[in-house]
Amino acid sequence: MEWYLALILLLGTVCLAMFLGLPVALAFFTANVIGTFIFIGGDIGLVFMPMEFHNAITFGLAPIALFLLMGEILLQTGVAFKAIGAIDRLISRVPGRLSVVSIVGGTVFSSLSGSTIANTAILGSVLLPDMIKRGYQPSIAMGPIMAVGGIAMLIPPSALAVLLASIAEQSVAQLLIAGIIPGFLMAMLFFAYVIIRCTINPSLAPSYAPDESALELPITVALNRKGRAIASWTYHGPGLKLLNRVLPFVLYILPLFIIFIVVVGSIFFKIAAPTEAAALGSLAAFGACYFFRLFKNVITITGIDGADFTWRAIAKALMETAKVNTMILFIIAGSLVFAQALTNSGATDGLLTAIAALELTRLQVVIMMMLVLLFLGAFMDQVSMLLLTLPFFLLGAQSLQVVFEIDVVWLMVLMLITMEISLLTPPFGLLLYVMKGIAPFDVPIGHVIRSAMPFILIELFVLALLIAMPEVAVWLPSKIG
Amino acid sequence: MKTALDNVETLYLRLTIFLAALVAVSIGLIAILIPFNLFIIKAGIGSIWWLNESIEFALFFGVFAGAPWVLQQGAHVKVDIVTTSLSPDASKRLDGFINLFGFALCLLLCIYGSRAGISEFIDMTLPDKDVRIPNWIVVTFFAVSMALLAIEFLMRFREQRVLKLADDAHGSEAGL
Repeated sequence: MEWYLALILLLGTVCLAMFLGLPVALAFFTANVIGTFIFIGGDIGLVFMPMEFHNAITFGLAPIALFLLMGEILLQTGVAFKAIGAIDRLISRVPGRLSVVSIVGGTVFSSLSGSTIANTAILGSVLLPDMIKRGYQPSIAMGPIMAVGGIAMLIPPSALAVLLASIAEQSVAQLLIAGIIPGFLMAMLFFAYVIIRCTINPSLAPSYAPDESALELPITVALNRKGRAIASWTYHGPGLKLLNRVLPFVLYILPLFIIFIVVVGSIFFKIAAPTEAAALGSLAAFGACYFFRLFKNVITITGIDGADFTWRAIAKALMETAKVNTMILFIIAGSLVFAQALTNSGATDGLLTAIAALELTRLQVVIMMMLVLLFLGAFMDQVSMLLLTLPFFLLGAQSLQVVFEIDVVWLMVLMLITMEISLLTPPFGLLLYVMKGIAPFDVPIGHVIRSAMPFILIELFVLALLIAMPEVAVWLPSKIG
Repeated sequence: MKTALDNVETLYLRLTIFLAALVAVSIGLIAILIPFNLFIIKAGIGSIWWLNESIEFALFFGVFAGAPWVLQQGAHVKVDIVTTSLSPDASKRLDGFINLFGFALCLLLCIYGSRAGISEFIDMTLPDKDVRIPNWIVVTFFAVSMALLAIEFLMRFREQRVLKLADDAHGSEAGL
């Protein structure tokens, strides 16, 4: 069979099955059955196929579950919500205050969680009702939350970065580290955009005096035993307002940064491999949440609620992690066998040879890859689009990355940014629907899309910047060799 | 009144939740054992030699043990570009077709998984690893997972039929 017919048959089967509503993993399975039967030994090939699924699941995929678990622990124990409350209290009067809180809070939570959906859902459920109550226009209320939600894909720990690097058989550590600068750059640009926009047009986010009555209260620290205070100390001296403002940040946010330091530090200083760093991060998240429990009953501090750490919450976190991890690995198993079928059919080689014959420059190839991802991202989820394109872009000696000698870390960062953009691009950007789902009012999807547009442009700007200046992405990972 | 089929459904639901709970426990164990292993390596005490390969097996068994429960929860990623643009009736029909197709696909994979299991059992093949779980166990697990997924698709189809019949009955009453 000609390579292009094989390509149409296999890709067509996956796309048709996907668009008809079959779960994505099973859409890949369908193409695998057809591909294996036709191109890999017919009936006998199908008998051997189950072992291929086993071979597709490797140890390198373990960090995905562990990074997801970190975020779930913080979410289910309520610590994530307290952290956002602490940032809310810290930020005083700035234009578009709550939008700024969402960007800072989202960036902090991105460094603690590997899940974009969790990030958006937390910020949306905590901040959006207050924004709407205070007369924020939907464009400045929803846009920053969705945009900053996607940053979790770039700033470590990022489950998708682990997935991309481990399937492409590249350094997970380098990719995780490479996402830091572009991630924070993007957050700073979102921040600047909100401030400038709300300064020019204050009606977008009416200014208000945050309720600061709690800042005047004296701070009482009490040590309790069996529900009774055995020692207490009250402070109502100078600087009380500042202390009340900073205390939640010190108690809630700084201990959480230990998680980020454990994960990134252990990778950067080569103390641990990414899987070990992810497991250490999960334990650190668990430890931090257990630590916050102290402030619930044992040590009570005015204005500090502590955390609802229970074993039930941990069990829920594990179950939610199991759900998302199974969903992701199920698609991976299907898609990797699919990649084999593509290779055996000659479709991968045929397409790559045809592209090579076009005599494109390296830059043109990179831009073409990004355009393909942006197009697919408008219709597909991130994992599916990634796994559908990897056989051509990154896998194997004939891939575009190898043939055109493209820096692999740079390319993977560009792919992550493109996938982040596709979380917001209509008609099927995932975060658009997460936002519509959590909005406390019936908002048309058109409004949600419009509110995301300025942030999509900012993300495209960062993508263009990284294409023009690869050093922004590759400088930091070059330091770990 | 509960029929025998309802009882089977209840049993099936319990089984899938039990399997999902095992997957969750395995993730918890992975989160504990990896740092423990790192600690004993750094302390020069030794290492858990079987850990990495066991995690590979746990991930594989976890994916296929959890897949039916994830399907039950509606948590497998779907691209609903077509179904959302159809009329409710057409969308239900398409859903029904997809459920039947999913059933047929999983049944086919179950059959091939079983054949692979028998073949591996006869040859008594072992993986090229230090942790040597016989291949027939691995592929039989795959076959069982596919059987459970097939049942799940069938149950979804049945549920849809029951809802449709109830809708039709309601519709005719309204007509009267």
